[in-house]
Parts: sequence; structure tokens; C-alpha cells
Amino acid sequence: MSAVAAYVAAFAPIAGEPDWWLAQRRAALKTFERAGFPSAREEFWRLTDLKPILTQTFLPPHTVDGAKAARLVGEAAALVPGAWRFVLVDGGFAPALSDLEGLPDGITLVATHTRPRAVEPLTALLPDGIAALGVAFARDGLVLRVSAGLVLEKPIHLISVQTEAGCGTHLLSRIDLEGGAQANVIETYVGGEGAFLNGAAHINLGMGAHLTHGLFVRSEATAQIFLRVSARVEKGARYSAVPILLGAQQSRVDLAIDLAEDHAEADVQGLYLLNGTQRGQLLTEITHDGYATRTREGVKGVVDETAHGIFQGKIAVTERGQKTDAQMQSRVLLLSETARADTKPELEIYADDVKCSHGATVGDIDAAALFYLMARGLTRADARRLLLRAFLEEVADQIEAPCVQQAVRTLLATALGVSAQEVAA
Amino acid sequence: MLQINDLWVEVEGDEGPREILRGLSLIVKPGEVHAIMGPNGSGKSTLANVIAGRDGYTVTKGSVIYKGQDVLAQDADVRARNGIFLAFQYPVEIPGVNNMYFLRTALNAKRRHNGLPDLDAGAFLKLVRAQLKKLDLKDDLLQRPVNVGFSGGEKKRNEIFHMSILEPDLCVLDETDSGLDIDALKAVSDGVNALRSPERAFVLITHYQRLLSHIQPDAVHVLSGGKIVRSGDASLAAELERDGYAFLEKDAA
Repeated sequence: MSAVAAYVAAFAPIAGEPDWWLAQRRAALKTFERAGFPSAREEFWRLTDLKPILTQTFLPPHTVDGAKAARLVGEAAALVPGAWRFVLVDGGFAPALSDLEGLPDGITLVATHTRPRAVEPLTALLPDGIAALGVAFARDGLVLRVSAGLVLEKPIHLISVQTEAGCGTHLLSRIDLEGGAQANVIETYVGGEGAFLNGAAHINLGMGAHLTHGLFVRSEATAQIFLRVSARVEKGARYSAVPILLGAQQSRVDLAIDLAEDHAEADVQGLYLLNGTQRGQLLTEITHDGYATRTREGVKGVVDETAHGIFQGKIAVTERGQKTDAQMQSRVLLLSETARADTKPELEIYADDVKCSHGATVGDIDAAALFYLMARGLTRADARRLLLRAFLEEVADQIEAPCVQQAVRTLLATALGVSAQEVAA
Repeated sequence: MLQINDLWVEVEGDEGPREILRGLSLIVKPGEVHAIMGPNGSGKSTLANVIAGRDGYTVTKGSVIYKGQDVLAQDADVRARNGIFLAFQYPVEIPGVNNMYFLRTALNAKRRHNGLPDLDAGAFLKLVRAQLKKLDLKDDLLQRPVNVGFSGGEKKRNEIFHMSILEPDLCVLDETDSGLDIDALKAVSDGVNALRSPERAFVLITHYQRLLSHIQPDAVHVLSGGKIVRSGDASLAAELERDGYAFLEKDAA
């Protein structure tokens, strides 16, 4: 049986779901059956390793390992202290592990299965087979709505863990900030052994709203994690994305940001740190469709051993995008002869009064700096670690929201084997 | 302290390997200050880099013995922890690495190597403040990334500052005087003089005599064509300042 046929055979109604939602999932399954998986001939899938997705069937999990879930959630929760915690275990909301105490009036934070209408923008548009598969098998996700003018004091930390090996988890989420609202949302994905996670989220930011959105992949080394975000940014609103690709055999984060109205802004501060045979791929497409919109995008990568880092960044300016100001930067360090990086910046401009720039570098650790540090007594390993940290910390330096910045610093310290005390120094 | 025997060194150039040092020998005893002078291209900086252990140099013959050990097989960091310090001609800017944090890491690496406990942040700060004052360095240099945005003089003073904190046994100063104004030169010289002790030796590599009017050397050597062609006491430096290196060509002829 082909992978596609195996998914079709595994499709089943979920207890308690409304009929119309089951019908939508079934329709998505039909779309998936027809479309199949993306092919390596498609530009945005060309550099993705599709083999594991094509050759295995990641069926829905059967049992939840509660003890394992609690341990994984505990570890991830430490990353963002003092947050409201929204936990998904094997794709389903886990209220017992969540902490939503004291949410103020004017904020809705619920599981998708209680409000499937909220993710209709994701079911209406199915760009490819993986998106269709995600809708067909979606069980849950996060639905957040913050009413106008409300500024959330505490961050919201979505933690998704997978406890069953080799399974597939599909999440659909929705975030809405009404006019002038502000929130920090961090999503941490801890994938299961040989498991597949397929998450999609739709975001809408009303006039003058500001969302800082961390997307952290810190998975089991054998997991496949695919995340897709579409964000619509209205007048004077701002979307700050922080994709951090650390774990997983393969992580793929795909951000489509629509600066739909005047003075809308996008910040992307991303990084990937890969070794072994890992592959990390960050795709961004930012569309400037309003007057005087602005993008600041910086991506840094470090690739060691035979890992492969990919950044495909597109900036599109429509005829309405006059006075666009967009800057995109990518810097990658390759630490071994066999490490690989692909960087593909792309500008597509249909307005004549714009300021757009991009720059990309790929290099090695600076030999002069390494010698300088060693000549003062640091071992080669310590000197390299210090230089790598300095290189990657520049990403953290650019993040305005203190809770997200601190979380990124903690992630880096753990990943590079530097103690938190050293980082504080 | 330091014994260099018949040292031959090549560097890889665009047109194949090039011989830079050609049979250099030098003996430096504890407590001594040796000045190495010579025209551009004579191999002065190569000597400093080979002593410190920089990559890119091939020693084809000879040895560098420091405290009884041949250091040529050791990595730069091992030599540094054993007490060799190179003050760079061009101190490297390292964005994102805090000067103070780096220096404490370096000091503690050396202390651990010597079986001493780490210095905590408080004790380190106390040590650092005292030295800063002596070198007339601004406090804020500590909180900035290493050498980033430092003026030329600040970079050189920062080198002497690192040296005074790390308390090495053998200090090699590679053209530390070049590009300094008179105040910076005085601060650097005072820093070096303050560190002089019967247990510590200095190799001062310089193009000009003026540093040596602030730091009295025990010996002056002239390096030319990759080896030492003349040695003398402090008066040799004054003679070179007066007559230049013209005698080298005369000797060669």
C-alpha cells in the first residue's frame, strides 16, 4: 500500500466532532488523495528531504505516555518562566499539563477542537498535499484571540510534545490580535522519535497590533518537524517572527507574511544550528502590499559535520507597495568540509519607489579571531564555542521582547554547552 | 627562559613557500628585556607568531625551547597557559565577545592549568579595576566587545591590560609601539615597566628606537634577512636610530 493509500485507510471520525468539521476533513483528505505529496521538482520543496515523508506512513498516535509527556513538558516549560502554558501532547490539548490561571478578560485561549471555525482560513486554502493532510488529520491546536488594545503582560508558551515513536501529529492553530493588542507567543516543538509533526497556523494582526512569535524546534534527533505560518498584517501592525531551528532530523519552517495594509511591518530574526545529518530549512515570503511597509530580516546559520542548512527568502512588492523599505540578511558559518548551506534571497518588485536590499555570506570561523582567543589561553574548543555563541547571540540581540530574547539565549546556551551563568556574565 | 636554536621558518605564499627565518638563534634569561629591531620584511613578526604558535608557519629546522620544553609541537593555547603572551601588532576585533568576560575566561583557564581555583566575578573585578587605573584605561572598555570600536591606542593599551591581568612569564610584544601617540606610548611603557620582575622576560619587537627610550632593554638585536646580524646593549638602539639600517647593505656588499 502506498503512503497515500495508508493515510486514506487510516482516516476515521473523531468522537464529538461536529458533522461539518468531519466533512471538511474528509474533503481535505480527498484533496490530499488527488494531490499526493509535493515533489522535489517544486521550487519550495526542492531542498526538502521528502524521502521520509514519501516512504513512511506516520499514523495518528494510539497511546499517550503520560510520564514522558510530563518530563518533556517540564523541560520545555523552563525555557519561558512565568508564562501561560498551553500544552499539546501527541496532537491533543492536555489541560492537566497546561497552566492558564489568571488569564485576563478579553483574551480567548482555547483548544482548536472546541472552536474549529477559527481555523477555517487554513481549510479553505490548501496549497499542497501536506497542508491537505494536515487538515484531514488535525485533532487540535491553539486558538488565541486578544481583544482590542489589550497588552498581555505574560507570554503564552505553546508546548507541543510527541510521546509515541513513529507517529504523525497534525496541528491547526489560529492567532488573532485585534487593533492595538500586543502579545508574545512562543511555540516550542519537541518531536518524538522518528515522528512527524505537521503544524499550520493562521495569524491576523489588526491595526497597530504587535505579535512577537517564537517558533522553536528542539526535537528528538530523528523527528521531522514541518511548520507553516500565514500571517496577515494590517495597518501599522507588526509581526515579529523568531524561528529557531535546533533539533530534529529535519525541520522546515515556512512563513508567509502579508503586509496587507499601509505601514505594516515584519521582523524576522531566525537561526539554525545543525550537525550530524540534520537538515534545517527556513522559507520566508514577505509580501509588501501596502504603502510604506517595512521588513527587517536577519537569518544566521551554523552547520557542522554533514548537516544541511537552507534559507529561501523572498520579498515581493506589489504595485501598491510604494515606499517599501525591506532589508534581508543571511550569514552562515560552515564548520566542516562536508557541511552544506543553500541561501537563496529573492526580490520581486512591481513598485518603482522602494528601498530593498539583501545580502548573504557563507564562511568559516574567523581564523584570526580563533588564534587571538587561543593565544590568551582558551582551548580551541572553548574559543570556537565562544565565537559561535557571539555569532548567534547577535540574533538574540535583535529581539525586542525580553522574554523571547531570554528564551533564545537559554536555547543557545544549552545547544552550545555553555552554562546559563556564563551567559549572564 | 627562552632558547631559540638555528630556527628556519617558511610561510606559504602565492608563489609557493617562502623562507622568512633563516637560522635565527636567541637566548633570553628570566628578568631580561630583549629588543628585536630590524627593517620591514626582516622576519620580526614571523618570529613573534612562531613563538606564540600561530598557524600558517612551517618550521623546517631548529627549535624553540621555553622553560626547558620544545614548544613547537604545542598549540597556541597550551603555550599561553604555560605563560607565553603575545601582544598583537594588530589586535583582533571580536564582535559579540565581552572584553571582561573573555579576560576572566582566559585567566581562569590559566589558573585551572596551574591548579588554582577560579577567580569569582567580585575578586576579578577588584583586580581589573586596579590595573585599569594604572593603565589609564576607561572602565567602559571592559563592557564592550573585545577591541570593537577601540581606537588604535586603546587596542594596544588593552593588550597591555590583558598582559597585566594574565601575568605571563614570557611577554612578546609585536610592534606594540607602532601607531601610538606619546601619551599612549607612555602608558604602554609604564605598563611594561610595572611588570618587569626577576622572574619575567620580555621580547620587544619594534621598528623604532623610541619605545626603548621608555623601556630600558638589556640587549638589542638586529634582525635582517631572517637571522640576527648584530647584538649589543642599549646603546645599539641609539646608534641605529642615528645611522639607520644602512650598514646592513654595506655588510651584505
